Amino acid sequence: MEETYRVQPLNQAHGTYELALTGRVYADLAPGLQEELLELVDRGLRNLVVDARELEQIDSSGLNVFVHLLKRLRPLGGKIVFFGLNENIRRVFRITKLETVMGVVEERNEALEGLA
Amino acid sequence: MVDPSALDPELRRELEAADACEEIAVVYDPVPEVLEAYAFEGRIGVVAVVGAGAAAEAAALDAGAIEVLTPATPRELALARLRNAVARFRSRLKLERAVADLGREADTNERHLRLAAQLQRSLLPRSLPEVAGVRFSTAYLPRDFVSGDTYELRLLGPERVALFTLDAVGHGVRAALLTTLLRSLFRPLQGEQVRSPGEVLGELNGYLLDAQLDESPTAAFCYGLLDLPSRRLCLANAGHPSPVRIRPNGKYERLGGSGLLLGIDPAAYEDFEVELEPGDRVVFFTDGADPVYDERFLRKLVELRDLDLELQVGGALGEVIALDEEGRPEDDVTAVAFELTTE
Repeated sequence: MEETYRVQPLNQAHGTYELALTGRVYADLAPGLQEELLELVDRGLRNLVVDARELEQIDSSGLNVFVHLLKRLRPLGGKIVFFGLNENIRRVFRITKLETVMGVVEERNEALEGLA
Repeated sequence: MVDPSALDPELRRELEAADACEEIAVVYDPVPEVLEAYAFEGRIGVVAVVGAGAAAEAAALDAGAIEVLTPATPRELALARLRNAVARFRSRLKLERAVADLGREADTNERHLRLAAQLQRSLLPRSLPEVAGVRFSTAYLPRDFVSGDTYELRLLGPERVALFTLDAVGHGVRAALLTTLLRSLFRPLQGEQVRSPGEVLGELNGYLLDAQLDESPTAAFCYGLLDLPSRRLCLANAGHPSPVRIRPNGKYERLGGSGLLLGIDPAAYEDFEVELEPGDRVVFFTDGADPVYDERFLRKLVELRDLDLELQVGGALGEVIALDEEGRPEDDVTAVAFELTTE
């Protein structure tokens, strides 16, 4: 499956965006994704819902995109919530304990409630 | 024969001006060998002015002239062709120089990366510790010249061994520099006293947070302290795959839990202690060895448990590592293993 991502605003007044990830997020994709997300922070992104239902794998470069984004968002009162992670990626979040600093839920509506 | 003084005065002036430029030569009725010599050299574009006749024009173009004019070429057309030819040739030269510069820059970068890789490898243990009752093996496969992984295997006095595997989040030079920083900050001893692994990781985490480095450098780190007389292994883990213990009968278990990756938030790292048995093998490994966290590497280790330690680890890695189109590992891969011998 082609590696790709798509980000779009959900509620611009609250700075909430949704990022859909597909396939594998590896070192080749991470820099572009990071740059785009950080530019959106400059333009008002504060909360990010990550749709990971189609995400197959993520490596440490991909994870670092979200760690770096989180560090930018937290002083601004922002959050990141993932939903739809497959079991292997959930394991990554469990081992790295990223699940304690980012939201990880099953369903999209839970993710949106988590940001409310 | 072409008589330059018989050409249109403006065209003649422009031909003279072009000829004065070091990258352009204007030649009148050249023999093919002259044009071929210029073409071979490549850095000078030749504008040929030849006597009337399609054959002479074609011969000059075939021999490498960038433009061919004749006294019969209408003035405006001759001027336009001359200007275009000079402009095209200059653009080509500029592009060729840019490509050459990029090539040189790439060569320089590659040399620097090779040097960085040598320096990074020079920090790794040069030999495996030789102590009674335990055998060691290591595997280190960077994805690029430099690696975001590193490991340590160090005797702390006659009875203890400090070992860690470390995976700086990300790849390339940035991750490699972070491994170097963390190695330099790793302090297993306080004076003569051995510090607990959890305390050591807590200190590394504090360093990273206090440094407030750009781009949020983050690392997974698993540090184990093996006490040889008691066969006790104490370890602490920051977001790293837990090491695996494989018993001689093939049973295996993951050792300890894990804490938060280093460099994200203040965190306490718990010590986990286990008493090992003679014949046990323990393998520390970065996530490159378990690319999709499905424990296939662990199962392969168990399958190959009757082999020597080095063959077991190497064989299992060979079975599970994902390679990219160029045959490189898709992630940095590191493993450090030891076996408590029954001697």
